[in-house]
Amino acid sequence: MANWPTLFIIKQFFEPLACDAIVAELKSLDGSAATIYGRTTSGSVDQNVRRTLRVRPSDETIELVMRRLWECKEAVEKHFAVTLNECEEPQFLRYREGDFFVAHQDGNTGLLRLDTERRLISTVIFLSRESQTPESDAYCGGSLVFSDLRNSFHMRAEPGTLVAFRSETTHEVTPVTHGERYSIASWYR
Amino acid sequence: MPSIQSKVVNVLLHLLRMKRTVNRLRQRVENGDRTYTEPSQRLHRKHHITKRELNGHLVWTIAPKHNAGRKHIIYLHGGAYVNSFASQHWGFMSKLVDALNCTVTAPNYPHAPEYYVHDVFALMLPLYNELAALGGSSNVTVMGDSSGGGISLALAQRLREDGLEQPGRLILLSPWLDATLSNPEIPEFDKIDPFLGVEGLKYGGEVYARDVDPKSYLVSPVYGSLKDLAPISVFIGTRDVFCPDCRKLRDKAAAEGVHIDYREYDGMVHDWMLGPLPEAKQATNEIVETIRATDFHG
Repeated sequence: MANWPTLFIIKQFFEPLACDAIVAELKSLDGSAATIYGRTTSGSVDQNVRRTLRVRPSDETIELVMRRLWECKEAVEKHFAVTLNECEEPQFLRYREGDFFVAHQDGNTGLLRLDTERRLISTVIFLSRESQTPESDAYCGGSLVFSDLRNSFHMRAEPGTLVAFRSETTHEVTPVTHGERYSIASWYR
Repeated sequence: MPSIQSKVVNVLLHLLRMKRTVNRLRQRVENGDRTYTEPSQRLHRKHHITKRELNGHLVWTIAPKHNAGRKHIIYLHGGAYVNSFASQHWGFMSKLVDALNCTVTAPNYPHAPEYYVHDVFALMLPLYNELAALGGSSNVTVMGDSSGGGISLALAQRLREDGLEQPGRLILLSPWLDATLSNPEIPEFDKIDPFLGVEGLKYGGEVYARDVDPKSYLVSPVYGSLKDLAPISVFIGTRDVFCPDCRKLRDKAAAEGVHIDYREYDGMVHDWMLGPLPEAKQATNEIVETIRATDFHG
């Protein structure tokens, strides 16, 4: 299928120095298991579905990311021909070796009666570099892969790059095999 | 008459004290001793296997490597509501994919005691609706063994209550139809069943129901009406504590004027169709023929 998946990409959404500063801050903090889009009576996360740490940085860092996301809202709206009204507080994620998130959709599936169904556009901001071979300043595995019934597309992570896609697009993060992968996820509604 | 292999399995189940293991279900759960397996590497080589997340839970899809047909099976594994897939489930689903050139979707539905009946339906309804929309509800067979068989029937009843389309067929394998296990004939079957233990099962039924009436159809579908459901096939053995409630289902269907395809295998134990037995081969052939004969569309 031509032009699949529909992606909106901004290279250097964050400058390398800003990425390094955010990663340094995240490295200095403890995290808790990131949760999953979905609602059941148990608050626990199935470790066979997602294994990732969510780290909460300073309010200033969160505000910085939200401001930058809000600044590019119009461009995202134009690219996807949608109207966006709000942006969720971003999640700062640390994937250690072995961490992953199986194929999933973030929202707008028409299947579930959840608040997260209101998500229209998902964004991922890469903070660290993906490499084919182990390097001290990069991670291996941890690829962002989009898929549907016929296709799959591997998005190469470059620090500072933002990628936006429709929230119903199925995507996964493959297991990290070396190093640590840092990224920021957020959603426009 | 049961095959020699089947008689050997009976002896092995006694020797392995399987009944005692099932009766210790509560202790096993409290000790974190729960069954969970994933498809083997051999199956990965043989089929196109993918997994994804839906509503917080893992959903597996097993399909032929190439040119899958339109038939789709939703398979709900057994495990007394507290356990996940056993290796036998994967082998059985693989046989179905091979024989029918179909796709099997197998959710790792939420398990008690962390989750309960409403969580299961919060996953199963959107999953069924998604697959029915994808290939047409009449192309979908809902099948399950043991507790998964009970959920399969309850799902069809819930679809009817919600005014949604039925699947093409329901196939219930050694289904657990009444979580309360209150059928007065069960104690006699408990004496001859070398596999399941009623005391342990009662724990599974209780934690699955939680605060929901255990005699509501969602928990115990034998209490629900069988009218206006997809055609039902039931496979059950006579050395299974679930046999009395399967007979009750058969009689209830007759009383409601509903025909069900009821197949009772003499001397067979719980979930025999998943094992390496001549009777399993026979049951699998019957299941395959039943699905082939179902009037699928498209």
